[in-house]
Amino acid sequence: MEFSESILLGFQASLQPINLLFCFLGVLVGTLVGVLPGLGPTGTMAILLPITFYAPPLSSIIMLAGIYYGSQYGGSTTSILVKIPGEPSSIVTCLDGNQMARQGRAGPALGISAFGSFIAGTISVVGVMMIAQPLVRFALRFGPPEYFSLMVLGLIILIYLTQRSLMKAISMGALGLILSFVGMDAMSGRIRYTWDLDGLLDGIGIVPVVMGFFGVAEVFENLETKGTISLYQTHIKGLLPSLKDWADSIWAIVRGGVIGFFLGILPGGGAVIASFVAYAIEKRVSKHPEKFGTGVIEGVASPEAANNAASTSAFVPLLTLGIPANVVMAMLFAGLLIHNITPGPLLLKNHPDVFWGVITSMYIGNVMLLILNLPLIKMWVQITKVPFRLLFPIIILICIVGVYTLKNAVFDIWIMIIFGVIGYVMKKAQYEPAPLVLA
Amino acid sequence: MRRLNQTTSLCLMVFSVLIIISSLRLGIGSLKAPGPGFGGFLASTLLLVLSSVVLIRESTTSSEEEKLGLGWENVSKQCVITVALCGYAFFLETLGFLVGGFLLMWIMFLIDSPRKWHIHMFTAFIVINVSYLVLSKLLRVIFPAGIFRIQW
Repeated sequence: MEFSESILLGFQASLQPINLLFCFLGVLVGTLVGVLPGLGPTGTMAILLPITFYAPPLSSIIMLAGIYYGSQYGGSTTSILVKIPGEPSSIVTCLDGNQMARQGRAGPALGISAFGSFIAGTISVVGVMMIAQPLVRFALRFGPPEYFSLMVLGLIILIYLTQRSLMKAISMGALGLILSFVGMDAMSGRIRYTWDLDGLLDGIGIVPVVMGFFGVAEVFENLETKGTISLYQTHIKGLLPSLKDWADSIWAIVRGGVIGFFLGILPGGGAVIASFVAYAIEKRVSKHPEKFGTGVIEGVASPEAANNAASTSAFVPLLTLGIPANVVMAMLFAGLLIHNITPGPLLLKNHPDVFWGVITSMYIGNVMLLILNLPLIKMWVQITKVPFRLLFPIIILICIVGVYTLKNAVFDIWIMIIFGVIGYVMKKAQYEPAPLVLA
Repeated sequence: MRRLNQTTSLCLMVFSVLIIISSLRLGIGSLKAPGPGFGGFLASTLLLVLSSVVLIRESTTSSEEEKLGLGWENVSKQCVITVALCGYAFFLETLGFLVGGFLLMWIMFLIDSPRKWHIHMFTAFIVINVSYLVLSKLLRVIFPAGIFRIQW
């Protein structure tokens, strides 16, 4: 299929009303969780996984992807206004963004952050479109040994990228493998590791485990933090950056976008590293590096552009090779598997509409985010004031309902509770859940 | 932290031993003809070895690390929620979604400010009814009615 035909197929799929609706829902929820410190995109994707059962595969993946890159947009709002990064990738935005807010320039900071993210997101989407097809063409030569190697590579990369103990990460991978063996053996028909519990005959579903680990455990973790967020009292005006602001930041946005794109493709690069690297490079190439940290607009534009570009290009290894570069991609991997779609080289051959639909939906999502973020900025600011004590019961309720509706089985709620508690204790003991989910 | 690591390692070791025993009962077969317990045996052996290493390492490190803090602040809230969730799962089919959900939501709202119990009761009532309306009436999800048969 020609490149232009592929793009048209992608837009044809992603511009369907239902896909536009799901894309909008995804970026809206993503912005919301990005704004709210506490619940991250991974937890939100886990909570919303059961909802995707009722939606077409492409719509589901578009929504889940929207949550991820939408959260990168939203994360900057709290970084600039409250100096609390909604997402780890917005940590570096705090440095200059919050200083700009304190100088009464919160508007241009938020504006350039949104425009910068949009421009960089666009650069990244175009880059993904260019690189995906040659990569898939190469990967289509793969046979079973290569596929097996890719699966093992994915697991190894995820284990290797863990920020804490390598041994604990491998342990979690092994634990995940053990859990995947529970239930009936497909080869021999023997029942394994069920200990006479009828609920385990079908195996342990990924959704209750994921919701326990990323939903319930995340709520438990957030309940530890005391204190309220104090919003910096500032009047947000003039969201549109001035010509001088544009002149100062346009090359920072382009550089950030390109850096973010390449670092996002690399497994382990991701949005967090991309934002730090882009900030460091911007400081190095700047004519006035000493001013960084005092409220220069390039210090906001560059990392925000980089984190958005990276969150888009991180889809390349997942969609083309089936390698999830980070935990969010592992969650998307699970989302695709739920719909019997295996990410990897055959995705483009077997489901070209899903492949190109997801990629083109990111461009549409970026436009939606721009519209959502600028006019509604005051609403997002108000949302940061919602206390977590009011949010968490609703999050728990969504988890319960989501798990129960899978099979109308109370047993799945028990699984979620057990893995919620285990996940919380494991997090305290610095065991990372990502390898378990992928395994 | 050290104590927590020791406890989790011990739990993982016990779990992996259980899996190894089950795998041996199922039959692990051979490398050329693996049995149903082969994969579980390999993974649980790996888990056993790794958790043993973590346990030994944690037992031999200096006690200075203990001062780094366990981070178990407000653990009472987590315990209350866990008990409430277990109670909910246990009584869901008896009490039904509306009654069980209302009680669970009320308990969770109460955790931070128990004095405002009447406001939280009202909030829980609204939340559970709105969610029931959306899920049951719009999305056609079937929930247990419970022995009181409370549904609308």
